[in-house]
Amino acid sequence: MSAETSREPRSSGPLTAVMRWMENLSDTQFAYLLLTPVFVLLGAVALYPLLRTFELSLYLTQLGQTEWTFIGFRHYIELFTGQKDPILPGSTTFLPRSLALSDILSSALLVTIIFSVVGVLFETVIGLGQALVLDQDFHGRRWARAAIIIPWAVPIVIQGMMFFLMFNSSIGFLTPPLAELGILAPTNTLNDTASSLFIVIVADIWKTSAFMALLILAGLQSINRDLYDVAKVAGASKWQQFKFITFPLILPTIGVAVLFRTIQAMRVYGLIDAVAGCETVPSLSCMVVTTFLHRQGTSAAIAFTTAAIIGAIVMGLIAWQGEDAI
Amino acid sequence: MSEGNSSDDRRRSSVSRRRFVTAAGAAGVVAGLAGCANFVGGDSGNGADGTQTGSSGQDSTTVQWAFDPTAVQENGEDIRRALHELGGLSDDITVDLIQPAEETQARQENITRLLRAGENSPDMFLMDNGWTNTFIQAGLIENLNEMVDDEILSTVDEEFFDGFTSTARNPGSGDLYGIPMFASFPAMLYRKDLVEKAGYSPEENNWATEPMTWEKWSHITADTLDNTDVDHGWTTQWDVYEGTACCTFNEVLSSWGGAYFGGRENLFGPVGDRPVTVDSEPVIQSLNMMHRFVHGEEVGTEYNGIKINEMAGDIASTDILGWNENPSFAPFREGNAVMHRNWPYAIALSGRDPEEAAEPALGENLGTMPIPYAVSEEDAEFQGTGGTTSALGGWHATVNPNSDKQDATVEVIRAMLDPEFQLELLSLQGWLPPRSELFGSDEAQNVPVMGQFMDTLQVIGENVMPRPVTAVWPDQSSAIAEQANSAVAGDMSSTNAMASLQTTLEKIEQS
Repeated sequence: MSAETSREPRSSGPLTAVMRWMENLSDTQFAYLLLTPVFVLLGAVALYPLLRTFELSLYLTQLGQTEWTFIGFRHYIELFTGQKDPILPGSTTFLPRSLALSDILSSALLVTIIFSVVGVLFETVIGLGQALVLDQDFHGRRWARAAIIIPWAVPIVIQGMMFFLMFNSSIGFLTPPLAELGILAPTNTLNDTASSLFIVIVADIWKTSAFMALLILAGLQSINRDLYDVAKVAGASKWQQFKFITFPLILPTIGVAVLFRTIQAMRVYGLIDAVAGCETVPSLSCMVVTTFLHRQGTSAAIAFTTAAIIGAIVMGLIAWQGEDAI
Repeated sequence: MSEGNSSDDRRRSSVSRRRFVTAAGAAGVVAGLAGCANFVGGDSGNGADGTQTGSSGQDSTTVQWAFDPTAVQENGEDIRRALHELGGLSDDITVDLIQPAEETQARQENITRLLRAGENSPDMFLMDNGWTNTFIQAGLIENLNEMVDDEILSTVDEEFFDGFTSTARNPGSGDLYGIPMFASFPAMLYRKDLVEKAGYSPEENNWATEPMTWEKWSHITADTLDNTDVDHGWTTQWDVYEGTACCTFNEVLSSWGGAYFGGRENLFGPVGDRPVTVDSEPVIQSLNMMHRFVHGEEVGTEYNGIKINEMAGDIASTDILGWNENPSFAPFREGNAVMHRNWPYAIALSGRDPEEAAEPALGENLGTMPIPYAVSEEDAEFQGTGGTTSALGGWHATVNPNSDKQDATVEVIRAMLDPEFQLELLSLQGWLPPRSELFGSDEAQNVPVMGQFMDTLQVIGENVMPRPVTAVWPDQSSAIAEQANSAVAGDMSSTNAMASLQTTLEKIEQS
């Protein structure tokens, strides 16, 4: 007791109080305490720009006007009611005017969704096929893996120029055969929205299937091989092995890969700009870039809306995947 | 078992927490100090206050000028020297030519940010005539009427190309905000050897200086195409891009007496209070003509006595719908086209001696003429249109209103107005002087390659059409390019394309 009393003066003070408080925290509370700097950092680099973008979207800024005017949610209202459509590049609209094909292909929102859904779907199927092949033990498997990853390593601008040149009106060699099949417009191909959207989607699939393949391959290789031995003993066919062992076990990996790719696909800009231009294939990010110099408020409203749409889709995917999500 | 684990965890946890926080705190302090080192005691740059870079003495002033990057790299020293030796700039003033971004839009963005931030340097800028007016209307650059003396103002008023200078004036007050530095206007280039082979005599008929009609020109092109083995009759630019809206389509519709906004007087506004006239007859007919040139289809329309069916068709390939300047230039430069529309750089490159040039060139087989027309100035429906028309390119020198060296910038402007200096720029850079009288001078005529085409360029310079740049032009230009492209591609009729464009432009005007 006397020893405790004699130590008392050394143990008092704010630092000691903080230490004592910290040591009495539960493990969970202490973990959150340690994570606080990360939260602060993330808030500074991710949340703050998002909030500033939102703030900018509430102001009217236009070339020729040096002052910002607060207009509340007017940009958002005009965006969703079609009043902003005339200032979007070419004949682009934000929402489609009708369900006619030409109107669907003029809508930045629908073009982005079509690009994402079709692109990610084919990339997943092709990536799964590639991963299943690469998971087999065969001579030269290392080289096959390297070959599959090459498109992923090509920079977007170079990839864009490759596809631009392949379908260029003067020197492109792929337009005539595909035009004969009725897939592409025979002339002015890269200024035709349907043709250009097709080309951009194919270019994206070409590049990004490798990404899906590598992620799914990682999932495949984590499967315990003993399960297949048991299945063989039980007399399961190859299809049954895939259906009851392989697919259920790699589904969480596919889910994560689809999530990442969907986020990436919804933000597409560079590939479109290099192949066809934002007037021809309007995407949401294209609208942000093309309006930014002259109408920052509008641009910020489109950017924030794009972020909100991506956020909603991601939340939907995470909810759908349940406990297997990230 | 459970209790034991719990007690062990607590013991281990209490030690690691304290140590961890102590270590993290110490590391944070060290890292923080290291990070702040640059602010606390780091190198602050050039010493002094950094505002008088390059000053050589107390009376010396350095004017910083955001110039053309290529010109600075290739001829920066010569241009600086010419300002002093030919322009008479005092040795007390040093001009520091700064290289801005290469691409015009990036340059515009950078200057916008810089001026909006109130920066006082650079003191001067080189601005594309296509966007100078947006700076004028935003009040971001100096009003030269309030800064320079009457001698400079009267020189610009009396001797410079009016059309070009107007892009550096405030459309409301007429005040001057930029000094034209060099002009640029497209010409129709042609293969002289091929047309002569087809039986035409360009020199006897003064093609270089007497504009011809589209009808006559189309037959010359078609005849030559039929009688020679080249693949292209006419190569030009009609892609969905700024160049179609500002320039190629603008030239063609103006040559029919049409206009985007009711005539020349409304080019720079007032936005929202000017007519939109793209659905007018001359504009539609100009697109019908282009459609016939590309597809050769019959167009049974007549306007002002002009029948499009009487023009030759099928003289341009559908490739033009995806071409901008360089792709359209390539076939002509290689000798595979009869006619080609482009800016003066194409004259300088294709007019070189093919024996000496590294790239394909035509040498003495190159001919130039003004852009053809359909309707004369007298018969034009809209004010200031009709006749041969070339789009207006070129750059202006402007002054930063925040600069604290305005006296020195006036002296630089005075030096750059000297005709000798402007001819030196023609010689060094191929930059066309912005004053009419210099085109005919002996020195200009003697400049290699460009000199022999100065007569044509002088006629073109007197018939230029500025691009209608206002605060809403960036929104309007992409809509114009897209609809012009669809009409000529045949995706929709010219009438429908222009009706749709009319609605869009009207909405943008009111936005």
